[in-house]
Amino acid sequence: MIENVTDAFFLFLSFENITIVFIGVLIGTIVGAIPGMTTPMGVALALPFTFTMQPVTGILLLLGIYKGGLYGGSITAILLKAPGTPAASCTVLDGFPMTQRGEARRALDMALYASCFADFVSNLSLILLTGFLATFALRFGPPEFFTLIVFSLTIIAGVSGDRLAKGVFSACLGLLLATIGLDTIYGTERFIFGEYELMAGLNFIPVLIGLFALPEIIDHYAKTSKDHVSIGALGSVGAGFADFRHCFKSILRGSLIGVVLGAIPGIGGAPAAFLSYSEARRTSKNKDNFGKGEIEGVAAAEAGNNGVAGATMIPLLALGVPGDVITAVILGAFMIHGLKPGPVMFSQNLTMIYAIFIGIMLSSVYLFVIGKFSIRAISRIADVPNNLLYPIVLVLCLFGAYAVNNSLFDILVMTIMGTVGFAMLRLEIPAAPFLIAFILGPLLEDSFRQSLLLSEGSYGIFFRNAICWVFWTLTALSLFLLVRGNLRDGRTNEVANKPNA
Amino acid sequence: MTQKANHEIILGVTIIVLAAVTAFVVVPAGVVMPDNIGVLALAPNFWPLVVVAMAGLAGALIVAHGLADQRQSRHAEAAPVLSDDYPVVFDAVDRPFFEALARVVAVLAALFALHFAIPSTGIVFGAFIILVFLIYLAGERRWRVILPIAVVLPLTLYVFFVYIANVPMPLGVFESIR
Repeated sequence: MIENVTDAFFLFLSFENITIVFIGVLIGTIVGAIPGMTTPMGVALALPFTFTMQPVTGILLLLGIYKGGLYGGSITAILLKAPGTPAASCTVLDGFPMTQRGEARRALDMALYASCFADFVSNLSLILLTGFLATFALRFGPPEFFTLIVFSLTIIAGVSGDRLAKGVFSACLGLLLATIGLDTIYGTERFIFGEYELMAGLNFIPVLIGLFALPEIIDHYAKTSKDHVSIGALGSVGAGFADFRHCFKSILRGSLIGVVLGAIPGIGGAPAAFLSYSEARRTSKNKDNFGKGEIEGVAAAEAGNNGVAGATMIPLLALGVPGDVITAVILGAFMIHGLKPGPVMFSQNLTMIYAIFIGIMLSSVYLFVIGKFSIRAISRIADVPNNLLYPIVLVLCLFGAYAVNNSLFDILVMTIMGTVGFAMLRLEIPAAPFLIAFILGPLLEDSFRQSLLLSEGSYGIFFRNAICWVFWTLTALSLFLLVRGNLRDGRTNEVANKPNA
Repeated sequence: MTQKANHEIILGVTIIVLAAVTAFVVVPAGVVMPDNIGVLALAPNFWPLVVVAMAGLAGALIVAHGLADQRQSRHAEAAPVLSDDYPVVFDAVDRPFFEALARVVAVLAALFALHFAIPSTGIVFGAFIILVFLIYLAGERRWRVILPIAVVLPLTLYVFFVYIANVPMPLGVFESIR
């Protein structure tokens, strides 16, 4: 253990790694602060730049962007009432009224303190819990992994919002595209149609860029440009220790809510932020001020939002299953570097995992430094007009997609996936289930077929022990809750639409 | 609400039709089957067919949702109106339909054209052309803003990938400059 930690320090301690975490957090904060740019988009665009880096360095860059992005969304939420991320929409409720009162600096400071604290708590939970879970997962064989991945696919429910059927369709598209290439058992062709570049299957990065970056860019051209909104004065008075102490209970509660919800695949930052906010409001002495510029509201929302950051990595590192879209992208990044997160990585690359933990802890410190000293500059950069921003992002996509394999075919894949993604955006078909299914698809199919090979075709292998039964039960429970929630929403709509309702 | 419901029904039916075409035409044509298959579930076409069946089911669910929405809208007291926050393809975008469509087609055409042009133009010059086109199309008219971005950005990315990341980038007819 001690030896591994020491080795991890040596692996981590390089100028490159220490700098890259800072760069990642900075980029993430800027991306998160730009309305119209999303954190998955930022991670997707950065991914091609990590190819030539050491695995730890590349992963830390992406994690830095993830963490910065979660916080960055709050900057424009507070200053412009334009949340940079969905989770930051909760911060708007009290952050923007504070800006209107000339207390923007105080709101931004509190958002930063709450974010850093929650991020730190979340990172600690990641470090403490992942190892236990991974040790347990060492007992998993192909049938256990199959049932685990089936359960994980119910996270599609979490990323589909209220459009479950469309989410399932989107996931099916992802699963189908993941079957392109050579069959892993018989070696025969699947959907190659003479195009030899498809033999190894579709590359993950052009698909990712096409789905998550291009649709927003294309969509921009279908809309008229909005008037440019200038960022107002930040104000001179920041949040002090008294403010932090006043909000501490809400920050701690929000951090723990974020950790719990973040560790459950598919829930993400927005529900954690809103739950933390509503709990803070319920228990606060100043509950009447919530929504009118209450600093505790900003703290609770940001703590809930950032509390998920480390926790979403728990299922990824321990089980190899992504907790949300960004961790799905990071899973892809691991694979590109020839690594497979999960229990095996814990036994074979423990040093690397500890090095990543060290980098993650450092990212909390950087988040504080960047947030404290560069808010003004970041808010100016976030002010870049979309007329320039989107074409610039498109050229980044172009170079990134080409750089994967030095292949023009990947540019074609990116463009086609961008067209598909744009159609999905317009038809309100969520893209996240597509990506998650595209990544999990081969793992699901392989574990299914390996299990049947082991059992010589007997399906009983999928019920061979308690672990399988636990995952089947969780899947059934998850589906039950999902269907019940959908039916309840349907009934609510029906009542709302009835005359005199 | 009715318009939204109709769109849902059309989308659901389209998905069902596409799933059927994939199951009966694309999978048989695209998946090469080995001579001997011991277990049916291990066949190369088993998984794609399961996925396509699930997609068809999702299409049916979307149709069912659309029908339920239609039924609800008939019960509604007020005349059915399209919700402001529901973008139905191009109906709810800010620009007029044909203008929006033309602009989207122009962007997509430029991207596809770029893919075919890069072997000749190279990625740097191709990116320069597309940047000028897209920035101009986005509404920026100041050439002192457009040109520096269009020149500096592709060159910077080229230098990064070629000289720092050691990823070769095509220069097309400008290959001799390298």
